Amino acid sequence: MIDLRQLVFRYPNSPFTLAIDSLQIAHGEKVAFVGPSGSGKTTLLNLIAGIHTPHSGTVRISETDIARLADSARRNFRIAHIGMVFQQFELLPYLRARDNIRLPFLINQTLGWSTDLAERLEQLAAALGIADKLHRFPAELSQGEQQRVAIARALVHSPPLLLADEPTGNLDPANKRNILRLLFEQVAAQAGTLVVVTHDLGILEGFDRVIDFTQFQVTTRQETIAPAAAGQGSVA
Amino acid sequence: MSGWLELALRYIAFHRWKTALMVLAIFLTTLLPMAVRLLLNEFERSLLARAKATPLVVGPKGSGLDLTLHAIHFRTPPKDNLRYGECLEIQESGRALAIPLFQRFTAAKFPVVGTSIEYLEFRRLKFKIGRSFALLGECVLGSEVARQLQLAPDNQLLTDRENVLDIAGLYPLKLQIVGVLEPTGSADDRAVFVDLRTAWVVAGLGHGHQDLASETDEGKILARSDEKIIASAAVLPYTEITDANRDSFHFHGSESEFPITAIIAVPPDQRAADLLTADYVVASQTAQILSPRQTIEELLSVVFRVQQFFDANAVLVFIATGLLLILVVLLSLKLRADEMRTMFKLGCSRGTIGLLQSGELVIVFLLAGLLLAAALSLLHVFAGPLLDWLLLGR
Repeated sequence: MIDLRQLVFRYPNSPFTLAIDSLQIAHGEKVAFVGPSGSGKTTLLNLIAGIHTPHSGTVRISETDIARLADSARRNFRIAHIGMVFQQFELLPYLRARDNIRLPFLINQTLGWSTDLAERLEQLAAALGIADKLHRFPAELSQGEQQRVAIARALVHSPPLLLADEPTGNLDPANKRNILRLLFEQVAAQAGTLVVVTHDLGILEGFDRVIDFTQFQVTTRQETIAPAAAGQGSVA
Repeated sequence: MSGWLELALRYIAFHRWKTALMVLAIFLTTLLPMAVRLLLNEFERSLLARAKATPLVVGPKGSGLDLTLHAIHFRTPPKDNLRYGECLEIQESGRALAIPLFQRFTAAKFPVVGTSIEYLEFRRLKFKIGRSFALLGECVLGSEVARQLQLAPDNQLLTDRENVLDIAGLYPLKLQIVGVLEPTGSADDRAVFVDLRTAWVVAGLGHGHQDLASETDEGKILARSDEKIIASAAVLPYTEITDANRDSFHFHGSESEFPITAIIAVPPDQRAADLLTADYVVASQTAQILSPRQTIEELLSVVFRVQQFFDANAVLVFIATGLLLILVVLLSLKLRADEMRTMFKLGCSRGTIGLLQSGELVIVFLLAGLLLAAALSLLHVFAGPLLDWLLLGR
């Protein structure tokens, strides 16, 4: 599903460099990236999503090297194949929950809205427990409800790959468990792949694999990159 | 509907009060200069059209502009009167058709204009219903007067009393309506036309009362001789001219000495106009002659000079508002940077983000434009009455 090779990424005007020799994530796998802030977890997630483009190397998602795609093609690929959940939920305050879930379709004309999708939205909302909240604006929802809307937005177009950046970061323990359970359920329901970035070691139960970024060196571009943990791909 | 357009509309609907403020700011800054321009154009059109259609005006010496506005718009009459003899002399000189105007009274606040039948012909006024005034006490209503007062031929209209506290003052006269004019979009719509003699009756220069020669009530006769009968205050003048009492109406004194407030002079050619003008410029101590067109053009040139300053001011206000709007938009973009980043991460192109943001601005300007068009249309409809009220004081 995800195949990263000889990947090097640098932020402009920053000494930060992320280099990955090789990392594979299989279809249907549930993987957690853990590690402290600044260890490159979110950067890697953005590279997989095609939000960032690597300086060199390949980022293959389902046989497509998205690093080689043009901007518009990469954007279309992302919107069609990848769902994203953000730490701050990032719902648009002026859209009701229903329209926030529909947002990927509003901002990209290549995705056509249909009655099937409308039905899926209702089913998803029911599964996430927000069916009666769809007419509300984000400010009228609790944090847990907002996160559920964000998850529904990431899943509504049934992407094979779901990327979540600190999806439980702002939640209380009970809500954390609920959100993770929902993510697992929904990804399993559509036989998708899940990659979650977290620094919360208490939520790792249930993941197929945990890639710990603390065992790798994140260095300036002049320094040598450390080898990866055996059997878990290599991140340097 | 395009997704970006739906998003733009939803953003605007969510921030409706902020949007309304922006729309209002744009609307007001553009409305003011445009409304002034529209009103001035209307002012120029109505004043100049009427002035051009009135070759010469004769009136008592004083403000030329006041005399012009009085003669062509029935605005406040000049302080002094002209002699009606002045009108007769112009007529006899053959240098112009002289149309007298006497307007010092009102009926239901509308000016009662005493004139001759030639006025209606000169202005090419047509009757919507009824006929022209022919007998003493008859009147013809302008279209707006008839509409506002809901009056028609065979109804009556009472002239206004000048001072309700003056019990010895002139009695109001009940006028018999015999015709209603077609609308013309001019001051004629808002006037009541009567024969000059009827206007003099309203002014108290002519009156009718019971026949004192056969009166036997001594309380009504103070003195009686072969030459004259002196009546007491118990003999009241008639307040309505009817077929029964019309013959009893009479005037004391010479008609040529009776007052008029202006004369519209219509010379047959330019030479006659020049000669008539020369007569007044050279010889008259009490009267003046002027060309309404020239007077109004002088007024307009002053108005338009003032307007240029106003336009310059409006441009500065517009620039200031524009800069403020740019600031608001830039601050809004800064505030919405996270939102745009989210949309980008979700797969929105920069072009769509640009469309969304410019779409919101276009909608704001469109709303302001719609409001502006509605306000200007409304202003266009009511420009005439508004100008009358603002500039002509009625």
